[in-house]
Amino acid sequence: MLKRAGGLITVLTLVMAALPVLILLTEGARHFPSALQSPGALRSLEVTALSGAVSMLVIFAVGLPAAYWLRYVPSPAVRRAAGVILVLALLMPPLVLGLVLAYVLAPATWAGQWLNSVHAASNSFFALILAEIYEAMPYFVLTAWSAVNAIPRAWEEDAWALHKTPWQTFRFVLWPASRPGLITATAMAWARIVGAFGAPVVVAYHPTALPVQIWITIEETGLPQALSLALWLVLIGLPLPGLLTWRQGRTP
Amino acid sequence: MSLRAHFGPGGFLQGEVDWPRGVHALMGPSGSGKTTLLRHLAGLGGPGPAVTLDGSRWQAIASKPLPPYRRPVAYVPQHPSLVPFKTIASQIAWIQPGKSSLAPPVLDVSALLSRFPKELSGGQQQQVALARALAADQTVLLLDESLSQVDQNQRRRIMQWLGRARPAPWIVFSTHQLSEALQFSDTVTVIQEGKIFAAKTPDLLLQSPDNPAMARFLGYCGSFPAGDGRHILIHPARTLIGAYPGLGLVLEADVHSLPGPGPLERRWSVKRQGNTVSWQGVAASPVDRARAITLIAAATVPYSLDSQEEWP
Repeated sequence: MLKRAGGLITVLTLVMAALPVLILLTEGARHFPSALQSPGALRSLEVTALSGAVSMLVIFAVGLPAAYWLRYVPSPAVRRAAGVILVLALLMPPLVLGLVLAYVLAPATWAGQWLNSVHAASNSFFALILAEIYEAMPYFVLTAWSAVNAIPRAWEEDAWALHKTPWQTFRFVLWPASRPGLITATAMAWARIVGAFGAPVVVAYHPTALPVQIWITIEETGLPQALSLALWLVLIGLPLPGLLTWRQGRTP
Repeated sequence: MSLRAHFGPGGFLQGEVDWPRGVHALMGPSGSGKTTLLRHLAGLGGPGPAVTLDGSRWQAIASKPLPPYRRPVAYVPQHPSLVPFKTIASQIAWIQPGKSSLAPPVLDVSALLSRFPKELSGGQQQQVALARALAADQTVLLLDESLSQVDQNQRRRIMQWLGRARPAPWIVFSTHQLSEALQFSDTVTVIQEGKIFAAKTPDLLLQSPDNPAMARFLGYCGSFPAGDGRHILIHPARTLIGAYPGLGLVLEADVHSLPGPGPLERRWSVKRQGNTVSWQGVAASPVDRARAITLIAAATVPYSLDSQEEWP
């Protein structure tokens, strides 16, 4: 009886979770081919893909060493502080993040002044990438750190005590062991980058990325066209996490 | 030509080890510091002792200890961490390319090469870990109860092979099995609560245990006064019931025995000059009473050892 009730509740939960995707697939498909023909739509798709790729590369290049470094920090206080900082950054509302970035990038601040002298600080490709990185970085580092941290220290120590250098041990033991977790971290960060709206809408309205373009489309054209554009966004952002979750055969 | 490590004051381990080339056993109760010592030697124990091998110090720049991968050491812990997603062959080959087929036959790992660690029993995993360590081909082989899950016969065969083949100039193994330590090693080093006692040959160790706790650890179960202020230790495995003057030291005593708690055991009690020493031994004995015991290679020490066996 209890088992049956649990099954029913689970099915209802899954139906609720699937509903937005189903609606998006059915309603968004109506104007799907023509959605990119509306002004600025195709350009926003290109901007999203390009800025997403750059942001992902930066996050990978910075976040991966950070995740490995955090594994070896001997001080529990430093580890705890790092965890709290990352969780706070992850939970910070994207709009608030955007406001903070806008403040930092404003010409009145030292950083904004300097950046403006080099390149337009806000409403620029640079600002868009910065906003995407800020939104996605905590997801990547926390997930990657968790994956790397789950590898028993004894695996490494045994290899070192058999005359294998840390680099050899990394290649043979650590990297293959952490790869599934790192792929999950990458997929989560990618989904977050592609869907970044709160911060970009404040600091990088131009060049317009797809989420901001969807907002513009709602205001200017209407919901049906916006839904079609949203379907494009989902098709770019979600297949990778979906596929990886399917391959790993477990819930995220 | 020796492997030396000196543990200064302040740490858990106190004392020093000084092992010439050979096979050396490390013995001590659980928690006495055997694993700590071996990990320090392997470079895994953090800041530790000054270790020298043949006079050269294992130290990196700025007084930092040499990291494990720069030491001429192969270390096998009690619970080996075989990489779960690699086959046994690839793990051995990784340590020393081309060595997977050269694992010594006594280890019986040839049939396991294509398997993954989770497909092996605990004893098989330990043998694979030993094969992997041998493939590293280092000067010092450190085995931390690394055959504890291997069955008795196979374990004996491996120990015999290690003693005969000497695959490394220095082999140091920790064990709880007294007979194994005494039989397969050139010297035995005892550790008690972090204190390291000087290595002794098995015979010398049995002849002169440093203190009552060590004597009890070596299997002695009590003592009788020798008359000169010293005490004669009683070891069940070195005691004959009855007087055999040609075989050892004969002590007059009142000896009797009763059935033990198990079908294969027998309780023995030896009374002499108001002192009683008792122990449990094997049940097979042609006599259950006697007027004397004969001590083979009797050990005389400056301390007494109370019998802890309770007679019903």
